Amino acid sequence: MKKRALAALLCVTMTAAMLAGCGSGSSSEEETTQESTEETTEESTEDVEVEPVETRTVYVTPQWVNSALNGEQEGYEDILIAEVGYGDVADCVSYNEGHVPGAIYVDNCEVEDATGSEEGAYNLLAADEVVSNMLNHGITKDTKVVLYGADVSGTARQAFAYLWAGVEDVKIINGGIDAWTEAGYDTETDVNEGEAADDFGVEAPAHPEYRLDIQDAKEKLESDDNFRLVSIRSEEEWLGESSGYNYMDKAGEPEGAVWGKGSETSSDVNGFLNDDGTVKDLAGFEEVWADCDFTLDNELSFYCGTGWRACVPFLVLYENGYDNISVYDGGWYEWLMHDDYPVQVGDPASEDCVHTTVGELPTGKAAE
Amino acid sequence: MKKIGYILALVLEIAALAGAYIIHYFTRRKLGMVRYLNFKNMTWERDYPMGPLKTGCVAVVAVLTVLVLLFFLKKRKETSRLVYAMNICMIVLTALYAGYTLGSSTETMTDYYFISILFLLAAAVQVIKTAIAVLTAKGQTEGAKGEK
Repeated sequence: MKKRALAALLCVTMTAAMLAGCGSGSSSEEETTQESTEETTEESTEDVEVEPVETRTVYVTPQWVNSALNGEQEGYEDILIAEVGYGDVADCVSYNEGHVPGAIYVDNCEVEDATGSEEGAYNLLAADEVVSNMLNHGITKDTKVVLYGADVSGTARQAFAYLWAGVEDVKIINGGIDAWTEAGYDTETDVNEGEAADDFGVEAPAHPEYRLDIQDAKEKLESDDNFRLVSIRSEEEWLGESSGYNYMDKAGEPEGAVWGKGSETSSDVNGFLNDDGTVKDLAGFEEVWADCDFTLDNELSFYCGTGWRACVPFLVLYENGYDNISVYDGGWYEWLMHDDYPVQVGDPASEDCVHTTVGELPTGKAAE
Repeated sequence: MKKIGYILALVLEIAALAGAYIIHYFTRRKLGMVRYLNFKNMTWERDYPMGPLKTGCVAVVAVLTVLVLLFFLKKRKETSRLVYAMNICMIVLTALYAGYTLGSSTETMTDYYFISILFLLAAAVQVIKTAIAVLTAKGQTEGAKGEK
């Protein structure tokens, strides 16, 4: 009987320790963050005059955002700051550890399909759904939105969706919360919510041309000489060695696509980032693209696996005034759903490149 | 030997329930996890008759639970408190499994199949363990009677 009781006690203790472990970990992390926030606040940098930016500028510095919060940026006295994450606000560790004062929380699933079904394919949601979710936060076409998030591409995806829907002025804190705290600015842990609005102010999507659907991408590849479908994927994905994802079991690229580099794996855009984690400027992108098979004079449509990484180069070109750009939303994921669609496996400049169709591709190429 | 078996079964049940908790924890927080589960859901629904399978599993576990329970009630005066507790656990775990499996779906929870399978594992282990306990208790009682 004693042994049985001891065994039961052991099991209960193990379970309790495991459950408590999850909670206590986040709690101690929270305390650490609070302490570091206090320290950085004390070391806060001196106020310096920050140059104004254009409406179309997307990537801004923490200093600019801080000056806008202080009412020093004309036209930006009433900005709405939002941290972009995945899932419910209660489950977003980064937001709850400390966010930019006044920042609300927005979910990636408010702008894109979360099911991966044939109909959804992780594409942007219908415009009315995106608008409805934005209105719940009080975002209209005239709202000056400033986004940031732990994931560079996820944040870019949200910004892209807002611009596509019709928000006229969307910005991103370049470098995210790390850049914000390193600049010496304070954070808070209160959960903020926007005040819901009724009228978006424009019929959405106001910019359907920013998004290319799969049929258009295929047609343009076949018939438009000036069109370039630019793969923002890792070399491994580009060469068809791996799909890059554990939920895609075939590897390759749409036939005719060109490589735009930028990624080391399917979940980063490191090639587009500076050493400090900020997104490069146009000159930096041009350097990355120096030996690529496209120029900025081509009509460019960026794509990746499901449309996150592709939004980063889109935004950089957008803020530099380019209008000959779009994002092919469905990426490799949606292309895979069509057995008769043409694909290339390998470097198209090489004689070894295999030209076939999705249906003929071998399986077993999912990422480990 | 029987005690070791009970302890192993208990560990397995706790591991299954903890696994369900962990999967759900990460499904709520990790986009990659959700997408992998979406992929598995679609693959399973394409390759297997998931509807009849889940209904069949619930039916089998429910019938076995009722049979073990009836057998226990018939012999309850001959069994110990531990067997009584095992039967209560069996009812709770079967109700949890059946309730979750019939009341939820992949539309409401992306990790539905994984959690359902882990609940099934916990319930099935408990049913088997309880059935053995009830049968063994009967044997012991008869053995005790025979000794008299």
